[in-house]
Amino acid sequence: MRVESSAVAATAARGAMDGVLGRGTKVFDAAPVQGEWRRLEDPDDVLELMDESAAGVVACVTDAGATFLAPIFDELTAVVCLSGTPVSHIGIVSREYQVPCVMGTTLDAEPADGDRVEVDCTGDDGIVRPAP
Amino acid sequence: MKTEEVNRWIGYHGKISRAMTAERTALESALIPVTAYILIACIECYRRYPGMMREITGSASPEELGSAGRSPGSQIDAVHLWSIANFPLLGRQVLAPFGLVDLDRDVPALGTVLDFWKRAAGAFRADGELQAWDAGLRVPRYGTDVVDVLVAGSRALGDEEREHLIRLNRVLTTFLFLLYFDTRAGYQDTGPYPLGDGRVLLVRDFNRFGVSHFPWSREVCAGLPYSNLTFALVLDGGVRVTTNDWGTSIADPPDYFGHLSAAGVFTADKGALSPVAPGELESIARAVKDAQRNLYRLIAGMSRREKLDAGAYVYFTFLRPFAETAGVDDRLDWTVPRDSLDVYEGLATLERMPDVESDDSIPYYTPVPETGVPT
Repeated sequence: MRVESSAVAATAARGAMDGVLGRGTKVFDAAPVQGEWRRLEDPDDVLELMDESAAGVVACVTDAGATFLAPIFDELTAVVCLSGTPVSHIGIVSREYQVPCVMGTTLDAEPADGDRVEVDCTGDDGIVRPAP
Repeated sequence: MKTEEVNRWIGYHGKISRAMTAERTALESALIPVTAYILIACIECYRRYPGMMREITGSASPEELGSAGRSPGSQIDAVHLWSIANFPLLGRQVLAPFGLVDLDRDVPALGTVLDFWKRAAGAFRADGELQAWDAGLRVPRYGTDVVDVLVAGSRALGDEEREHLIRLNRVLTTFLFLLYFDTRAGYQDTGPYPLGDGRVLLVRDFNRFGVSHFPWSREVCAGLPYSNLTFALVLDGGVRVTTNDWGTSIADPPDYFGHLSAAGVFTADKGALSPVAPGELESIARAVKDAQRNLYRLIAGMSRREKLDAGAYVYFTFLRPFAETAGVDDRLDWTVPRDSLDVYEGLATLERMPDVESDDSIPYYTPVPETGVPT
């Protein structure tokens, strides 16, 4: 237990030092992209973006199904999913759209809607951090 | 099928399904209550598929049906085959802890399902294996007759044509997930098919996206120019591809379109494969995108109950292509929910699938006991 606590604390400390907001499994290698953080909770959020525009949006979603973001996927800058793996349906779709995607993401600190963030899929993990 | 053989196939499916499910995890969608509808449908499958399979087998053997799946446009495919065996097993797994498995019919019912699946799956693959898992993650759905047509009709694409192909692939991918309520029933990959020159063919079928037996298709699919499209993607030797029985391909490196040597788009709408002109791809993509927006609005406007019943219908009708090919679909009752009403309300509120049991010593699907109901 003590070892685990230390490990968690060390990870959190390293995240804070690196300015990392969240970390998960990337679906594929991709250069860092920057966009506006939007937590999407229900279909009305998607319909709103469908009628306006989802361009430049980094969509944060809880579930890993493919359907929720379907009509706006081609406009998104990146997807941050809080569950699932790269072979979950949303991971499959992000690969086809070549939209950078981080699966099973743990957020140390959640950005507010509208915050500028960077999604970096160049390393071993997919990283979410404040945009420089 | 005797108890011992039933248990052997239960163990076989459980081992593979545990591994596949652990890799994927997380089925939910904020648009569609996937977990709840899956469980409701699987109970229907456990209780009704055995009788329906007996009716189907009265008109066509499972071997004939499996072989029919080796033609483009058929929905007798790896995804549907995997599902007709595993859905009843999952339904039984849900019912068992509540003492709702009927011991008197358990073995004969499972025997019917597993025998039907085994014979159809063997004929479908025609390589001596039953599933991709057994064969190094390869689905050899098409024989050389089909592969030759696909390769002969493929050619190197210019930048603009390639872009149109990619755009159509993308929108069809999301549209078919949406049309089939977040399942892989509508689109899937097969292969890889080695071509002998270092290249491989990956085939992607998008099936039945016109007006169909799905009530929601009538409103959104009538304007689409095709119902079935088959992509032939000829990849150079710089990419390694595997496919599984859920129709998912994994490429290494992942950007397989960067290794596209040649491609062709075909339709099986009129039976035999015929090429679709590259100049059509952009207009097809626009039509599909419009349909996708309309369908999303339609589904978003459904009540939770309507979504549950629609999703359960999608899952339950995974057997329908077999019945259609046998010519008995009109004689069978596809109403859902029908035989899950005793547990429907309890399952309808579920939001999450329970975690996969990672302890290999605990069976993924409970075997049939020599005496007594499974627990």
